[in-house]
Amino acid sequence: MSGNEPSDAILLKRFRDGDRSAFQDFVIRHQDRVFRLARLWLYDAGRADDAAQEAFVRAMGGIAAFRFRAAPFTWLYRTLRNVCHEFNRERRHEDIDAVPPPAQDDDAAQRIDAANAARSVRELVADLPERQREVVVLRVFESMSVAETARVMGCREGTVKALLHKAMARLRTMVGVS
Amino acid sequence: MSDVTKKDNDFAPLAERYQRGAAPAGFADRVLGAVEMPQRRSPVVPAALAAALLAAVALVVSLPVMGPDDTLSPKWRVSAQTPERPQAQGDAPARLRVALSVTTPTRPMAENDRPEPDSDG
Repeated sequence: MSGNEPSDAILLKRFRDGDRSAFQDFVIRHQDRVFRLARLWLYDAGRADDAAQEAFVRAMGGIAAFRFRAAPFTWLYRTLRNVCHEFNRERRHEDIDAVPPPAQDDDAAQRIDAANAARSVRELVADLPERQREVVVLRVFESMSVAETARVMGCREGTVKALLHKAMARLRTMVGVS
Repeated sequence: MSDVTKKDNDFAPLAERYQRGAAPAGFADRVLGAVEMPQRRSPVVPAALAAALLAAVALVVSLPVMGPDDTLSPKWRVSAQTPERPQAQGDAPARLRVALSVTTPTRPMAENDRPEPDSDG
Protein backbone atom coordinates (compact mmCIF):
# COMPACT_ATOMS: atom_id res chain seq x y z
CA MET A 1 0.00 0.00 0.00
CA SER A 2 1.57 3.29 -1.00
CA GLY A 3 1.34 6.42 1.08
CA ASN A 4 -1.41 7.90 -1.06
CA GLU A 5 -3.80 5.01 -0.70
CA PRO A 6 -6.44 5.20 2.00
CA SER A 7 -5.96 2.96 5.00
CA ASP A 8 -8.08 -0.11 5.60
CA ALA A 9 -9.96 1.72 8.33
CA ILE A 10 -10.84 4.60 6.02
CA LEU A 11 -12.02 2.18 3.33
CA LEU A 12 -14.26 0.33 5.76
CA LYS A 13 -15.70 3.53 7.19
CA ARG A 14 -16.57 4.60 3.66
CA PHE A 15 -18.13 1.21 3.02
CA ARG A 16 -20.15 1.53 6.21
CA ASP A 17 -21.43 4.84 4.91
CA GLY A 18 -22.57 3.19 1.69
CA ASP A 19 -19.53 3.44 -0.58
CA ARG A 20 -19.44 0.13 -2.43
CA SER A 21 -16.23 0.89 -4.30
CA ALA A 22 -14.39 1.32 -1.00
CA PHE A 23 -15.24 -2.24 -0.10
CA GLN A 24 -14.11 -3.42 -3.51
CA ASP A 25 -10.74 -1.76 -2.89
CA PHE A 26 -10.51 -3.46 0.50
CA VAL A 27 -11.23 -6.88 -1.01
CA ILE A 28 -8.75 -6.43 -3.83
CA ARG A 29 -6.09 -5.35 -1.36
CA HIS A 30 -6.43 -8.46 0.80
CA GLN A 31 -7.92 -11.15 -1.41
CA ASP A 32 -4.66 -12.87 -2.37
CA ARG A 33 -3.42 -13.16 1.20
CA VAL A 34 -6.82 -14.32 2.45
CA PHE A 35 -7.06 -16.85 -0.35
CA ARG A 36 -3.55 -18.21 0.31
CA LEU A 37 -4.22 -18.56 4.03
CA ALA A 38 -7.50 -20.31 3.37
CA ARG A 39 -5.78 -22.74 1.02
CA LEU A 40 -3.11 -23.35 3.61
CA TRP A 41 -5.49 -24.09 6.44
CA LEU A 42 -8.07 -26.12 4.66
CA TYR A 43 -7.61 -29.79 4.05
CA ASP A 44 -9.89 -29.35 1.09
CA ALA A 45 -8.19 -26.90 -1.24
CA GLY A 46 -11.28 -26.73 -3.42
CA ARG A 47 -13.13 -25.03 -0.58
CA ALA A 48 -10.52 -22.34 0.01
CA ASP A 49 -12.35 -20.15 -2.44
CA ASP A 50 -15.63 -20.58 -0.54
CA ALA A 51 -13.93 -19.99 2.80
CA ALA A 52 -12.21 -16.83 1.63
CA GLN A 53 -15.48 -15.49 0.28
CA GLU A 54 -17.34 -16.46 3.44
CA ALA A 55 -14.75 -14.66 5.57
CA PHE A 56 -15.22 -11.41 3.67
CA VAL A 57 -19.00 -11.70 3.71
CA ARG A 58 -19.13 -12.52 7.41
CA ALA A 59 -16.71 -9.78 8.39
CA MET A 60 -18.53 -7.20 6.33
CA GLY A 61 -21.86 -8.37 7.70
CA GLY A 62 -20.66 -7.26 11.11
CA ILE A 63 -19.28 -3.92 9.96
CA ALA A 64 -21.94 -2.02 11.91
CA ALA A 65 -20.63 -3.51 15.16
CA PHE A 66 -16.95 -3.02 14.33
CA ARG A 67 -15.53 -0.26 16.53
CA PHE A 68 -12.17 0.06 14.75
CA ARG A 69 -10.25 -0.67 17.94
CA ALA A 70 -8.44 -3.49 16.14
CA ALA A 71 -6.87 -3.25 12.70
CA PRO A 72 -9.37 -4.26 10.00
CA PHE A 73 -7.10 -6.98 8.69
CA THR A 74 -6.78 -8.46 12.17
CA TRP A 75 -10.54 -8.66 12.31
CA LEU A 76 -10.72 -10.20 8.84
CA TYR A 77 -7.95 -12.67 9.66
CA ARG A 78 -9.68 -13.89 12.80
CA THR A 79 -12.93 -14.28 10.92
CA LEU A 80 -11.11 -16.29 8.26
CA ARG A 81 -9.49 -18.50 10.87
CA ASN A 82 -12.87 -19.25 12.41
CA VAL A 83 -14.41 -19.98 9.03
CA CYS A 84 -11.57 -22.35 8.12
CA HIS A 85 -11.89 -24.20 11.44
CA GLU A 86 -15.59 -24.63 10.77
CA PHE A 87 -14.94 -25.92 7.27
CA ASN A 88 -12.35 -28.34 8.58
CA ARG A 89 -14.70 -29.65 11.22
CA GLU A 90 -17.24 -30.35 8.51
CA ARG A 91 -14.89 -32.22 6.24
CA ARG A 92 -11.99 -33.45 8.30
CA HIS A 93 -9.04 -35.00 6.52
CA GLU A 94 -10.54 -34.99 3.07
CA ASP A 95 -7.45 -33.91 1.24
CA ILE A 96 -8.04 -33.46 -2.44
CA ASP A 97 -4.81 -31.56 -2.98
CA ALA A 98 -3.40 -34.56 -4.76
CA VAL A 99 -5.43 -33.53 -7.77
CA PRO A 100 -4.19 -30.17 -9.03
CA PRO A 101 -6.76 -27.75 -10.44
CA PRO A 102 -7.31 -28.15 -14.17
CA ALA A 103 -5.47 -25.78 -16.47
CA GLN A 104 -7.85 -23.04 -17.58
CA ASP A 105 -5.74 -20.05 -18.52
CA ASP A 106 -2.24 -18.87 -19.24
CA ASP A 107 -1.43 -18.56 -15.54
CA ALA A 108 -2.39 -22.14 -14.87
CA ALA A 109 1.18 -23.39 -14.48
CA GLN A 110 1.98 -20.68 -12.00
CA ARG A 111 -1.22 -21.34 -10.07
CA ILE A 112 -0.50 -25.03 -9.90
CA ASP A 113 3.01 -24.27 -8.70
CA ALA A 114 1.60 -21.96 -6.02
CA ALA A 115 -0.90 -24.61 -5.00
CA ASN A 116 1.88 -27.17 -4.72
CA ALA A 117 3.94 -24.70 -2.72
CA ALA A 118 1.02 -24.17 -0.36
CA ARG A 119 0.79 -27.92 0.10
CA SER A 120 4.53 -28.09 0.77
CA VAL A 121 4.23 -25.34 3.36
CA ARG A 122 1.37 -27.14 5.03
CA GLU A 123 3.31 -30.39 5.12
CA LEU A 124 6.33 -28.56 6.44
CA VAL A 125 4.52 -26.99 9.38
CA ALA A 126 2.07 -29.82 9.99
CA ASP A 127 3.95 -31.26 12.96
CA LEU A 128 4.42 -27.93 14.72
CA PRO A 129 2.19 -26.93 17.62
CA GLU A 130 -0.65 -24.69 16.46
CA ARG A 131 0.80 -21.37 17.67
CA GLN A 132 4.20 -22.09 16.20
CA ARG A 133 2.58 -23.13 12.94
CA GLU A 134 0.64 -19.90 12.80
CA VAL A 135 3.64 -17.71 13.49
CA VAL A 136 5.72 -19.44 10.82
CA VAL A 137 2.98 -19.04 8.23
CA LEU A 138 2.41 -15.37 8.98
CA ARG A 139 5.97 -14.31 9.57
CA VAL A 140 7.87 -16.44 7.08
CA PHE A 141 5.46 -17.23 4.31
CA GLU A 142 3.16 -14.19 4.43
CA SER A 143 6.11 -11.90 5.21
CA MET A 144 4.25 -10.03 7.91
CA SER A 145 6.28 -7.92 10.29
CA VAL A 146 6.72 -9.01 13.88
CA ALA A 147 4.36 -6.24 14.99
CA GLU A 148 1.69 -7.20 12.46
CA THR A 149 2.00 -10.88 13.34
CA ALA A 150 1.62 -10.05 17.01
CA ARG A 151 -1.47 -7.96 16.28
CA VAL A 152 -3.30 -10.59 14.28
CA MET A 153 -2.36 -13.34 16.72
CA GLY A 154 -3.36 -11.23 19.69
CA CYS A 155 -0.06 -11.59 21.54
CA ARG A 156 3.08 -9.61 22.30
CA GLU A 157 5.93 -9.14 19.88
CA GLY A 158 8.24 -10.97 22.26
CA THR A 159 5.92 -13.97 22.13
CA VAL A 160 6.06 -13.95 18.34
CA LYS A 161 9.85 -13.92 18.40
CA ALA A 162 10.01 -16.70 20.96
CA LEU A 163 7.51 -18.86 19.07
CA LEU A 164 9.33 -18.27 15.82
CA HIS A 165 12.68 -19.14 17.36
CA LYS A 166 11.36 -22.47 18.64
CA ALA A 167 9.52 -23.23 15.42
CA MET A 168 12.48 -22.48 13.17
CA ALA A 169 14.82 -24.58 15.27
CA ARG A 170 12.41 -27.47 15.00
CA LEU A 171 11.87 -26.98 11.27
CA ARG A 172 15.58 -26.90 10.59
CA THR A 173 15.99 -30.16 12.42
CA MET A 174 13.09 -31.67 10.51
CA VAL A 175 14.31 -30.65 7.06
CA GLY A 176 17.99 -31.15 7.86
CA VAL A 177 19.04 -27.52 7.54
CA SER A 178 21.96 -26.76 9.83
CA MET B 1 16.80 -11.54 15.98
CA SER B 2 19.18 -13.51 13.84
CA ASP B 3 16.68 -16.33 13.31
CA VAL B 4 14.29 -14.04 11.50
CA THR B 5 16.91 -13.21 8.92
CA LYS B 6 18.30 -16.69 8.62
CA LYS B 7 14.97 -18.39 8.17
CA ASP B 8 14.30 -16.19 5.16
CA ASN B 9 17.29 -17.78 3.50
CA ASP B 10 16.30 -21.24 4.59
CA PHE B 11 12.79 -21.14 3.22
CA ALA B 12 12.90 -18.23 0.79
CA PRO B 13 12.42 -20.33 -2.39
CA LEU B 14 9.37 -22.04 -0.95
CA ALA B 15 8.00 -18.76 0.40
CA GLU B 16 8.43 -17.16 -3.00
CA ARG B 17 6.51 -19.93 -4.72
CA TYR B 18 3.85 -19.86 -2.04
CA GLN B 19 3.35 -16.12 -2.46
CA ARG B 20 2.52 -16.53 -6.13
CA GLY B 21 -0.77 -17.94 -4.98
CA ALA B 22 -3.49 -15.49 -5.86
CA ALA B 23 -7.22 -15.33 -5.59
CA PRO B 24 -8.96 -16.56 -8.75
CA ALA B 25 -10.07 -14.02 -11.29
CA GLY B 26 -13.40 -12.44 -10.49
CA PHE B 27 -13.13 -13.23 -6.79
CA ALA B 28 -13.68 -9.62 -5.69
CA ASP B 29 -16.77 -9.31 -7.89
CA ARG B 30 -18.24 -12.46 -6.38
CA VAL B 31 -17.62 -11.21 -2.87
CA LEU B 32 -19.18 -7.89 -3.74
CA GLY B 33 -22.21 -9.67 -5.11
CA ALA B 34 -22.60 -11.65 -1.90
CA VAL B 35 -22.21 -8.78 0.53
CA GLU B 36 -25.15 -6.64 1.44
CA MET B 37 -24.54 -2.97 1.85
CA PRO B 38 -24.80 -1.96 5.50
CA GLN B 39 -27.87 -0.07 6.54
CA ARG B 40 -27.00 3.53 7.12
CA ARG B 41 -27.68 4.58 10.65
CA SER B 42 -29.88 7.63 10.90
CA PRO B 43 -28.09 10.26 12.96
CA VAL B 44 -31.34 11.85 14.11
CA VAL B 45 -33.91 9.97 16.17
CA PRO B 46 -37.28 10.41 14.51
CA ALA B 47 -39.44 12.94 16.29
CA ALA B 48 -42.29 10.49 16.96
CA LEU B 49 -39.92 7.99 18.56
CA ALA B 50 -38.31 10.69 20.67
CA ALA B 51 -41.71 11.90 21.87
CA ALA B 52 -42.76 8.37 22.77
CA LEU B 53 -39.53 7.84 24.71
CA LEU B 54 -39.98 11.09 26.60
CA ALA B 55 -43.56 10.19 27.49
CA ALA B 56 -42.46 6.77 28.76
CA VAL B 57 -39.74 8.30 30.92
CA ALA B 58 -42.16 10.86 32.33
CA LEU B 59 -44.64 8.14 33.21
CA VAL B 60 -42.04 6.07 35.02
CA VAL B 61 -40.80 9.07 36.98
CA SER B 62 -44.30 10.08 38.01
CA LEU B 63 -45.24 6.65 39.38
CA PRO B 64 -45.10 6.43 43.17
CA VAL B 65 -42.43 4.23 44.56
CA MET B 66 -44.20 1.14 45.74
CA GLY B 67 -42.76 -1.78 47.51
CA PRO B 68 -43.90 -4.70 49.61
CA ASP B 69 -45.20 -3.64 52.97
CA ASP B 70 -43.42 -6.08 55.23
CA THR B 71 -45.24 -4.91 58.29
CA LEU B 72 -48.51 -6.15 56.84
CA SER B 73 -47.30 -9.40 55.37
CA PRO B 74 -48.50 -12.58 56.98
CA LYS B 75 -45.84 -14.34 59.00
CA TRP B 76 -45.55 -18.04 58.54
CA ARG B 77 -43.93 -20.17 61.16
CA VAL B 78 -43.42 -23.90 61.11
CA SER B 79 -42.41 -25.54 64.34
CA ALA B 80 -41.56 -29.12 65.05
CA GLN B 81 -41.69 -30.77 68.44
CA THR B 82 -40.42 -34.14 69.48
CA PRO B 83 -41.70 -35.80 72.64
CA GLU B 84 -39.35 -35.29 75.56
CA ARG B 85 -40.53 -38.29 77.51
CA PRO B 86 -38.49 -41.37 76.76
CA GLN B 87 -40.55 -43.99 75.07
CA ALA B 88 -41.64 -46.69 77.46
CA GLN B 89 -42.13 -50.21 76.41
CA GLY B 90 -45.64 -50.74 75.13
CA ASP B 91 -46.17 -47.06 74.42
CA ALA B 92 -47.46 -45.95 71.13
CA PRO B 93 -44.61 -44.80 68.91
CA ALA B 94 -43.68 -41.20 69.47
CA ARG B 95 -44.76 -38.86 66.81
CA LEU B 96 -43.17 -35.71 65.62
CA ARG B 97 -45.58 -32.86 66.11
CA VAL B 98 -45.52 -30.22 63.48
CA ALA B 99 -47.42 -27.04 63.86
CA LEU B 100 -48.00 -24.36 61.33
CA SER B 101 -48.99 -20.98 62.53
CA VAL B 102 -49.87 -17.99 60.44
CA THR B 103 -49.92 -14.57 61.97
CA THR B 104 -51.33 -11.65 60.09
CA PRO B 105 -50.30 -8.42 61.70
CA THR B 106 -52.91 -5.77 61.94
CA ARG B 107 -52.25 -2.38 60.56
CA PRO B 108 -51.89 0.25 63.28
CA MET B 109 -54.98 2.29 63.46
CA ALA B 110 -54.76 5.73 62.00
CA GLU B 111 -56.17 8.74 63.72
CA ASN B 112 -59.26 8.96 61.55
CA ASP B 113 -59.77 5.17 61.65
CA ARG B 114 -60.72 5.22 65.32
CA PRO B 115 -64.32 4.36 66.09
CA GLU B 116 -66.64 7.15 66.81
CA PRO B 117 -67.07 7.67 70.55
CA ASP B 118 -70.24 6.19 71.85
CA SER B 119 -72.81 8.89 71.73
CA ASP B 120 -74.36 7.52 74.82
CA GLY B 121 -71.19 8.35 76.71
